Amino acid sequence: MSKSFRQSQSFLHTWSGLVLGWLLFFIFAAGTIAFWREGLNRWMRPELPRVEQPEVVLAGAQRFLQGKAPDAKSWFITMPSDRLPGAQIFWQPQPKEGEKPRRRRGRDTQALIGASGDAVTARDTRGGEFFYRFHFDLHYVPVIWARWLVGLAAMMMLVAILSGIVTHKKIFKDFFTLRRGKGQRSWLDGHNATAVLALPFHLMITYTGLVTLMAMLMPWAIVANYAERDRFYDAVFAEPEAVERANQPAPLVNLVGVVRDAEKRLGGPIGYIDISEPGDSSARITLSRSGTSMLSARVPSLVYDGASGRMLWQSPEPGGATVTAGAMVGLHAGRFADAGLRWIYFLCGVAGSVMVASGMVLWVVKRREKLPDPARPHFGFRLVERSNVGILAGFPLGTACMFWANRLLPVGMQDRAQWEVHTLFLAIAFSIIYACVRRPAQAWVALLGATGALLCALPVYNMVGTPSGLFAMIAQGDYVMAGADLTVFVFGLAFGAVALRVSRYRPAEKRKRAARSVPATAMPALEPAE
Amino acid sequence: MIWLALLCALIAFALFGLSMDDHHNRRLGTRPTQVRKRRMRGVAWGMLVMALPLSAGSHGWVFGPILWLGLIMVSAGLVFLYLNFAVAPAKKG
Amino acid sequence: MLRVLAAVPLGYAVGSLWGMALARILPGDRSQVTIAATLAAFALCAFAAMWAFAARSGWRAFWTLLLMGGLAGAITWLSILVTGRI
Repeated sequence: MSKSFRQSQSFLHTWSGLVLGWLLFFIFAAGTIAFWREGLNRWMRPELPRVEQPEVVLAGAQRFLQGKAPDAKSWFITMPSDRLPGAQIFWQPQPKEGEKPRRRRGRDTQALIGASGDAVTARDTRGGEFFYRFHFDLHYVPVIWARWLVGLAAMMMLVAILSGIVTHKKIFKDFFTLRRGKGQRSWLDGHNATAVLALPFHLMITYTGLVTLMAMLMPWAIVANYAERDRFYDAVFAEPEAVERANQPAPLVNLVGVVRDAEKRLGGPIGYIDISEPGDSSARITLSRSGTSMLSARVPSLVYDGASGRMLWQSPEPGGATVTAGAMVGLHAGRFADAGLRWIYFLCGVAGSVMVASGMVLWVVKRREKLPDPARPHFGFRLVERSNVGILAGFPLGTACMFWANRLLPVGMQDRAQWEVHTLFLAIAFSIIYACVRRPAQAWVALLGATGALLCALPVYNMVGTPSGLFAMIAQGDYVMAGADLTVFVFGLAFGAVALRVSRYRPAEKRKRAARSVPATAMPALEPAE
Repeated sequence: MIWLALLCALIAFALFGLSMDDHHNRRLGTRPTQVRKRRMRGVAWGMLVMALPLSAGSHGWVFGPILWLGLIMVSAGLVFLYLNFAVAPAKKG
Repeated sequence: MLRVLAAVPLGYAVGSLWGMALARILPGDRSQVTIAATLAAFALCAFAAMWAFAARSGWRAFWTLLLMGGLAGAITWLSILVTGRI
């Protein structure tokens, strides 16, 4: 590989990584946390007991909907399992004369059916769903803009990874290298290690992330082949013919029996149940297989007659490319992963977040050594240095604050779920301001230390303030809840350890060199003007 | 069987890591010869490859390869951490 | 720098246009070929961006990508003219 090619790719790598680096950190960190989305959905509603018998919950859901919305246009039930807080149900009322059917799922047309089969009210929170949504929809911005921005960031990430591979001269030789206490070189080794050791994951998650948004980002092949986009979707996502409401009442068959039959036919557990025109003779029950049981995100579905319980339609076998694309989306979401593989996904995601963060820090460390006047760094340097602290330390702090808000905000509060999220961003804003008024070294220690303390204190609070304390959960064998507490605690310790390490960091070598070669009146490079 | 696959991957990376001059010196006392390096790396590659059918054997040919790559990454990480952070035995002489 | 203009908007255009061309010329079921071409297009965008920086000069990068994009566009357009769309 020629030297100038490598150099050109090195330049590309630095800038494609740097320009949207903070956004990429948010995406990676939030996405990594989102691997525990279902667990967090439970953990952030600690007052709800674990689902032990899904069929009881399903029967309860049907009973509830029958009582609450017997003439609805459609019902939607998420199948319960011990990983979920319960069965999430929605219903869509009949559209009134002349009124367009309401597509948005309002607050008054949804409910949560808990372990006992009855509707439960838990504290208003977005739970793990926030981190999942945030990592591609962002927050406070229109969703379409957010997805285009995230798509651009993902493409830049892909370019950064590929150019990084090209640039890295001694990828095999340096595989296990970690030079410690050597400033820029140590950061480079750390950045390389987190990047190379989990390289298959990083490549996969970035590429599949783009694929997940491909309908929006890359619709051109569809445009090339189809005069109308709908014809493509009809070809790929086959659906049975829609049925008109017959206005002849007919009781809905017992869903539990239908689910059992469907699971036998599909060879896997059911994920979602969609019932159109329940209680009418034209009722149709659509059951889709759970994404947790197969690799491809394009899950097969069956349609049953609502009154008789007879199977009417089965989704056709998807084509090769559909399965491939579905597998890519499935790989990205990782819904199929069992506990062991999910931990691998999570750890790789942590490595990825550290890779992005260390890349940003590396840029600052490298530039600092090249500053013509360390006492007056140029604006670009100061911007990146301070923003690094505020954002890279701010997001973990924000997450910790959001978890605390989830515990402490009053249950009856208006817009409680939104305020939990506001807490996260308020903490980031605070971190950025703090990073601007304090020296970077101090700010890092304070913010990371605060994060560590807040996280470690959470499981302790859980033991006294919620019915789902660590030891109670272990006693019940509820490893979703216990695991969450333990993970939070370990991360708290980790942040504390890093804060300690940073507070003890003394660049002795640099000081000696600075004292020798620079006039005595100039300040050492590590203490820029405040 | 999956634990066996993990073991293979760990041994593989341990061999890769120890075949490097610095780590070999630090842990085993001497710098490795070219022959030794080649042997260690050869066995390491073999172990990596062997982990694949072991993974597929316990999780099928769809999830098996995914798990195999996952085990490879985890093993690489663990060996990296051990070689760089575990206290090395005192050097002889 | 011209290279950035070449890499970002032009890179996306080149990847998209070659995606369209592939969707037209690859044999097989149209819906499957469309998906396959879409999947490939992302890689093409990335390579176009890398090429934009590896080319010997900014102008070279710009014109080469413009030509590549034009070629793909021509193939697509001709193909649609001849066989039409679904």
